[in-house]
Amino acid sequence: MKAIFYRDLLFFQAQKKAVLIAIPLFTLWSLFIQQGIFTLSLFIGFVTIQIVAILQEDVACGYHELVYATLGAKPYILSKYVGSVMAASGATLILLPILLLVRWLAGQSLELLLVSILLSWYATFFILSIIIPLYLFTKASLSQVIFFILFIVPLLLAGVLSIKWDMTAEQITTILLPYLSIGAIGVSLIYGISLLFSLYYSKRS
Amino acid sequence: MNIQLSNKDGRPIYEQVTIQIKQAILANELKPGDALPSIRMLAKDLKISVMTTKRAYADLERDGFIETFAGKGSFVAARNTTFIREEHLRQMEEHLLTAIDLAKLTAMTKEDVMALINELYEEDAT
Amino acid sequence: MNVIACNKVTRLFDTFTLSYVDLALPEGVIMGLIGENGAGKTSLIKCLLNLYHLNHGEIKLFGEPHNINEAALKQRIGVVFDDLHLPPNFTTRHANQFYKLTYTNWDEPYFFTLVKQLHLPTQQKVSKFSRGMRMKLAIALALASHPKLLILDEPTSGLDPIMRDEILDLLVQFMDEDATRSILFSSHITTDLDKIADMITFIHKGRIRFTTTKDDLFYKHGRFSGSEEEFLAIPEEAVISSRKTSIGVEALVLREQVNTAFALQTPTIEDIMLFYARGDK
Repeated sequence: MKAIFYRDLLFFQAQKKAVLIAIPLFTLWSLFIQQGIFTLSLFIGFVTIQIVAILQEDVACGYHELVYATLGAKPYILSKYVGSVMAASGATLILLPILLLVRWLAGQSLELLLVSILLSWYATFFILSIIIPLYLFTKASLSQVIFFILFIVPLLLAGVLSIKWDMTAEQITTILLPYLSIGAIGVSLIYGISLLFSLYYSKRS
Repeated sequence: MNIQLSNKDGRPIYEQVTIQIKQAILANELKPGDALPSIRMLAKDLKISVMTTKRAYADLERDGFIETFAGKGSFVAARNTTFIREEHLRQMEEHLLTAIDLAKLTAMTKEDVMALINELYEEDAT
Repeated sequence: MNVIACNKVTRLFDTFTLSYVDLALPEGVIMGLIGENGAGKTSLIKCLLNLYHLNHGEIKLFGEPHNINEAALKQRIGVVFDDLHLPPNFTTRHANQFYKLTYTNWDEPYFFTLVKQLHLPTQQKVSKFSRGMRMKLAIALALASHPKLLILDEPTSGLDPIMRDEILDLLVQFMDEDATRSILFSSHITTDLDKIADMITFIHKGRIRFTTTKDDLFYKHGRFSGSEEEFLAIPEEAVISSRKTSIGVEALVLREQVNTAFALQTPTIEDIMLFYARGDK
């Protein structure tokens, strides 16, 4: 599994510059808009894009088959699911000091911070639950389209809703707060099922 | 060393290889201690399978023509004069048997054959 | 011992079926897997590597089921696909690191010796490599874990003759080092197999048409070409297949069953493959 993570780390390393430029820009931007940390925490969701980009590249160059042939399918699939959790945790840890700083500067509540981070996590793992098996077992083009829809639709929806109902981030937070624990259970369940499905289906490919 | 394989030759390929290497050793083209190509290289050069060259080398080793050392390869065995004499005698017998068979086919008597041998022997000596 | 043993391996695909494949690769042998594109060579190799599950039959590698102790078995196998299959931003050094983490008996010094011998760059990204360089790197990577079994899927296609010969020499060198190593080598370039294979397996439309030693192939088969009257004198059971040409008849025959008076030529693997494929129709 170390070998597979080595490849992922190399990929992340290549993105280092882009991230170093993007984070300060987003931080600045989030300071001047009303949603503040809510927007900034979306950055955790960008891990999804990275994971999907790796999957996309793996499938395109046949690297996943090379791993299947040298290590077996199971380590590869496990590494995708475990690696995603690690990547999201890493991104959260890196972002946390900046998020706390923005919260302090913008004077936003701790609840909002918590809800924002959790929502990002839920979105990330919900999308990955669907997209990982798609990339592994279907055509890359189909997976790309579905990923695009999964990623863009909630963002648009959130945008439209907040404009239409004219709710502040704090108001949304109060509505969402009671459902967070159910959300956590739901997403972990979906992610777990997705993992089991991928492991099972790889034997039937 | 020159090995020619023929599919018109009735003998199996491994035997053709064995005989030609034996001939090269007996003719002193290959000297004691000379390294033989590895079974893999010989197979590649003759475009035959390694199973065949392996069998040929095993036969050569059994007959004492070559020695194989693990990890080093095969070498022409140190010269053993009585053994070579025996091999020569065996080959001579084989040829004479063919000659006798032919003699019988052409209705030659034993005396005729002996006379012919004598004649050829004298000719060769002069 | 058989390094690879397939027993009635069957796998259904959308467009064709790999059916009842029996295959045995003995230790120390280079087996060539021939057949036209789409005959099932790659599918069979992917079945061996457990990339496809089987609908029926079983595969044993080194005497063990291929899908039980998979990771341990794969430590003893080197694989070369028809392309490098490494991420584009990898360099030779990255590939070394990746394989070092993959194989417990990875021989780093030997790998860099091969890299030098094959004139491969170490710092350049593989996306900038030529086809020849990609294949040479793939083979160096497969060899440097000192596998007991090497599985190559069309490693020489798209390469020029000089590069192909270089790769064949590398494989012979690999086999020469250790008599317990074996190679399964698929190719539709039959001249490569003329040179190095010990056994030839011909796969056609998902079925094995024959599997035999190269010597038997060359010395048991004969290529007849002559007039139609001459051809009629050849017993029917000796003819594998024949075709009319502008000047007479060409046929692939079994040498043993044909009168030695006929001047038969030694066929090439390509001749044999084409005649067997034609006989199928």
